[in-house]
Amino acid sequence: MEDERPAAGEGRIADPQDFEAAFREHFPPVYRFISRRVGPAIAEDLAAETFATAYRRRALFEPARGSLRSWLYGIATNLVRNRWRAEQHLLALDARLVPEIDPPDSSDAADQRVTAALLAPRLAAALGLLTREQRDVLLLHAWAELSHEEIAAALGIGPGTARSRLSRARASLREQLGDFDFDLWVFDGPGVAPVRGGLSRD
Amino acid sequence: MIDDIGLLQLFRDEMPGPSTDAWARARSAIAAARSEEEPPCPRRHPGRGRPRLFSIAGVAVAAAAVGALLAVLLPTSPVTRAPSAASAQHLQETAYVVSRVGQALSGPAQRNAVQYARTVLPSGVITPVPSGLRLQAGPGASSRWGVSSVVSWTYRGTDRISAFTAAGQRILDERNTLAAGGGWMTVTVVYRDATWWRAATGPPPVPPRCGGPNVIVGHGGWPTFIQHELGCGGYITAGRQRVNGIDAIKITGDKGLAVLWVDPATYLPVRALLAIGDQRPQTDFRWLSTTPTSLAQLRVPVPVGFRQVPPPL
Repeated sequence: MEDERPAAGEGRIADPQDFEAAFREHFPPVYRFISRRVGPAIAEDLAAETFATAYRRRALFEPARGSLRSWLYGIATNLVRNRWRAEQHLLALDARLVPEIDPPDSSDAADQRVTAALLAPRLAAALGLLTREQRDVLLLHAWAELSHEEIAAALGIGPGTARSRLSRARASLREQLGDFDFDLWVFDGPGVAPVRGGLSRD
Repeated sequence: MIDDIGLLQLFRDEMPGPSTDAWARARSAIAAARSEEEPPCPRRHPGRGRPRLFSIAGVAVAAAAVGALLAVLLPTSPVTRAPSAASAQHLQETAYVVSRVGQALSGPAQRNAVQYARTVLPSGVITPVPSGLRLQAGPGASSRWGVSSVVSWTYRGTDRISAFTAAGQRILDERNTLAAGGGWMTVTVVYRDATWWRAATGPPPVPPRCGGPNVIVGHGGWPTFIQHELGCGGYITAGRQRVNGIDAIKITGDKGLAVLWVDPATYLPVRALLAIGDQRPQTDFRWLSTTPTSLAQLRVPVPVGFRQVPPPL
């Protein structure tokens, strides 16, 4: 994953015009990140609050300590944490989904999407079982495409901690997916029945 | 070959980007944050190193000068500076409220509710209903058929409009159902001559212009009408007012809506005053959950003995 950390002195947003440019660039991906986590109904409020908070604190942003986008995702992640129940609820709903499509025979790109759809309930259940810290790190890595260093800057933790949390989160995810063969895109086990329960962590 | 991260990247990948409303809400939130910041004060550079002996005199002179300055500027300074900041904040607040009302009227809260509206018509006001009939508000309770109030029930693509005299006697019932192709199926029951008809009407007319002498709620009902009116601009929040037990946000305007009160919890309208010339017909709204009882209000029964007639041209 590419590290897009700007050089010191770049990416400053103290000036309202710079902030406006940053808003135009980063609002869509940050909104989408929040929306994927808690759903579009809540995302509008949280994404708006993310950028209002960023505006209030823009003088505190130091490009030398991390990229602008990692800073923004850090604010967004803090706000999403306050909606833990909503996120758990959404994951529980997805975990109960019964896909209306048949498993693919081959493994081209289209079939990967079909298989991903079939796997969605399992992924949702697996995400629901992660701790807050693990989920934050994993989704910042997978959805926001932040590097270990950017995740560390976003969450205010050390890079080593970010790395180990991500490692544990991925191990947990793979454990939940258990019998899925990533090479062949098939389950070796009994099928793709969604994993139920286990979403009560609070 | 794909790994767990690749798989995760496909999960909820179909989630769309921000809507226009989401952009507007974010801009509104940023504008509110901006307005919280104090405008920069002009920096004064008091003389340094002046002899202490003169500083007291200097303070006295300066105080006198400031006093004179304040005396001159006080009447105008609040207009030129403080209110401009307040106005900006007010406009931002209005933009936010109007945006939230628009979202509420097009969102699930409205779509899943049965909307009830009752309009009391001042004498002389003419109200066209979707079938094309024009109901004229009568001279009062003494008139047997003069319209005094109009009640509408709306749920998704169906609405029912009923007109009553001041004494509460039913004059007209009309149900409009959205048909395939954008037209409407209308059933109208006229109690004055005990007749009824069924008609298919075309697609809804082009929304009325902003302002102008006519105010037509039309197909789509109040939610569509209010959104259209607020989209015309020129509306401004005007504090809070207690309406039907709710500490409602008051929005005033000078086009089709003179005043709109909305519930601060849901941003759904509570009451509206239409602007029809000098008249201000009042409409009260209620947003009810969908129950068999509330949905039953959408039915238009044809009383036994009423004669079916061709729809008027």
